Amino acid sequence: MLFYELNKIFTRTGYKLLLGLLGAILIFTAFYHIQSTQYVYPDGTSISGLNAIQKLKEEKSQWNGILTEEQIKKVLQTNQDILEAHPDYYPGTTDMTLSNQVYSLQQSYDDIRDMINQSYRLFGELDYYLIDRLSPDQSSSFYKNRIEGLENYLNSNKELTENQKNYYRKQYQENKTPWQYAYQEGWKVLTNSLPILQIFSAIIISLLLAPIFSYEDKTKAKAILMSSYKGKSKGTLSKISAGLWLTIGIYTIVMSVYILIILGAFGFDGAFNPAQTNFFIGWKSPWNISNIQALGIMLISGLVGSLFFSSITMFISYKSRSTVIASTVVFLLILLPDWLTNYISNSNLITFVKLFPDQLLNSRAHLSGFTFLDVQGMVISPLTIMNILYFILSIVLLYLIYIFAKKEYLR
Amino acid sequence: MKLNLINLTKEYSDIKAVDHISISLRPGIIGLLGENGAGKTTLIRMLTSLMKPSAGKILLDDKDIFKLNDDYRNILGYLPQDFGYYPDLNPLDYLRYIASIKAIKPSVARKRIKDLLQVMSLWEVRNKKIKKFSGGMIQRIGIAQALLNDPKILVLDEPTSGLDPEERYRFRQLLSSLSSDKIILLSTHIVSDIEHIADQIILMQKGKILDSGSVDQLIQNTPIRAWKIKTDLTNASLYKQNRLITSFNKSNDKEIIRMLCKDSPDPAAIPDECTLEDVFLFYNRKKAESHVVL
Repeated sequence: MLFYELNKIFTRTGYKLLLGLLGAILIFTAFYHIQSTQYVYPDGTSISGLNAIQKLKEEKSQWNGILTEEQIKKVLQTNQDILEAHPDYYPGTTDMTLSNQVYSLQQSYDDIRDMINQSYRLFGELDYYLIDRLSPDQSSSFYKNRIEGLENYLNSNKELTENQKNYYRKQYQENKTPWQYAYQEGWKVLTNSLPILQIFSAIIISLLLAPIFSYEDKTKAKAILMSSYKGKSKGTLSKISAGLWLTIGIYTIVMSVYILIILGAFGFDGAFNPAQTNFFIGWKSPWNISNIQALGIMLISGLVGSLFFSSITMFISYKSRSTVIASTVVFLLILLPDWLTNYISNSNLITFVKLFPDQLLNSRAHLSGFTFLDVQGMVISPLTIMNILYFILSIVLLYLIYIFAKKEYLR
Repeated sequence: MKLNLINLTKEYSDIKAVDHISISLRPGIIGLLGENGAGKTTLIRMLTSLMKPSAGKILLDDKDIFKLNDDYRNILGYLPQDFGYYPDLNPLDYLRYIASIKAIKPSVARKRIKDLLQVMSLWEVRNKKIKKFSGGMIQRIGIAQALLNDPKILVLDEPTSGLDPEERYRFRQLLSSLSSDKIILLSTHIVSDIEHIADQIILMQKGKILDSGSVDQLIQNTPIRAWKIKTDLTNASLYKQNRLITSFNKSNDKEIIRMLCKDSPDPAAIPDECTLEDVFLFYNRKKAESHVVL
């Protein structure tokens, strides 16, 4: 029965095209990230693509090891030496050849440069050239800055509760330093690009599922199903199962293929680097996890998000009997809340909107920022709440479809 | 096996689509005859457990079909008036899907599907998408799906729409061969579909049963007879205005008119054999054409 439900979806030309589109987005995203990686030669010329990735990996791997203050000092000294060797260079120079020549010498420690810039700005605005104004002697405050920056932030923030503040302090104290650093380009690309792929996957899966119930009304096939022996019970269950299998299957295939392409191209190195070393999660992150754990959280959240959007699509498809309504509502639910936050100033309302299910498809934002909530004295990540809440809601929605369908009669 | 409809009623706000119908259905072919809007489809939807009645009961051997639930649907085959299919599936996959919904064992389903596709002359096109089929072919798939579980109760709503005369003939033959142990309810507004094969005919109008019985009984129960008269064109025109005319043929300056009325309209009129179609026309037109002399 499940096979025929899936067959009904996949035999339709429009839906084959949708799957093709998702495949094209996957390939384009992977190709874009591979092709946009550049390696700059000492003469200022550059290459991109797989060769660039290989050369960059060799360069960056020189700095693999524990990020002790001594290592930070070495980076700062190297940076100073490079600048001294190029007296004509200054930040923002219009001499692109010179700029590229300097960058070719700096690119090996670009990840560490990002960390240093974030450390010494003390939670201030990002300044790519901040490292250029630091002396090697300042290396000793590399990790202290993180604690100091947090204190500055907590003291200036009046919206956080004491529980939240204490939780962040605890997380920072428990964060084991010095950090282990290894070349981690693949993990950076994944944490940066996975959310967009998760959003596209959720949208396309929802579009595929939008007609799963309404199609029976459109084709007038429902009367036969409802008057058949197991049409209301197993027939409905098989549709729900098909929806779940399709969601899990497509999501797993898309994510696995993408991760394999990216890590295949960039390498698996850096999986166990602390997430704070990853620019796209960020130095400030209160999550004491590694790159691979961060990816795991993103994948699980994305899967729960996709399951929820699939469930709500199927529910609307069943109740409204309209593919268009099901598609439109879910499309808006995925894209609208995040856009709305640009126009909301009330922090409580923003916190509320940040609990909408679309956030599960953008879990990186929750790994990066101070988004933990104080719920009756318990400090908990919105991601934990959302994963549990929307998983339960998905089950409830699917169960309701089954119950409604079993008791359904024409009017 | 007996299907008892007791005081069955379906109301939509102020309209009674089915109005206190009580009748007993036994194995055989039962023709449900009525104009569009007579309440046939609503009655069928209740008989197929798709729709709950506003009042009354449907009992299968004294058990309420809505309580029997899946057990009732297990012995039911149904072809709706608007047969819904999946245009991108082929007949083979479509029937396999319906077989799985009807929980037919795969080995049984395989044989049954092959047999039905052969009987319906669809075996050669079993791998072709249904959307490429003609209306008649699609209707034959509909009939096949209704017969898939070898149902004890077979409900067919306007099954011959879209079928050509040859297909209609074959369909009637098929029904006749099935009818010995099944209740076959065939709803139609085409008299010829049931005239020669139905054991019982139910005449419906405005949600009520006007009459029911065999073709002969219905003809006997109808208080009119058919008459033929050959007359001049002036008289023919008068007859057409105030009589229930079933047919007329011009022949030179004369016209042969066939009409329905209780008594001979003219000494020259000769009685003609009354048919089920006459009964159907009488009930449906006598109200619409209330000025006619019967």
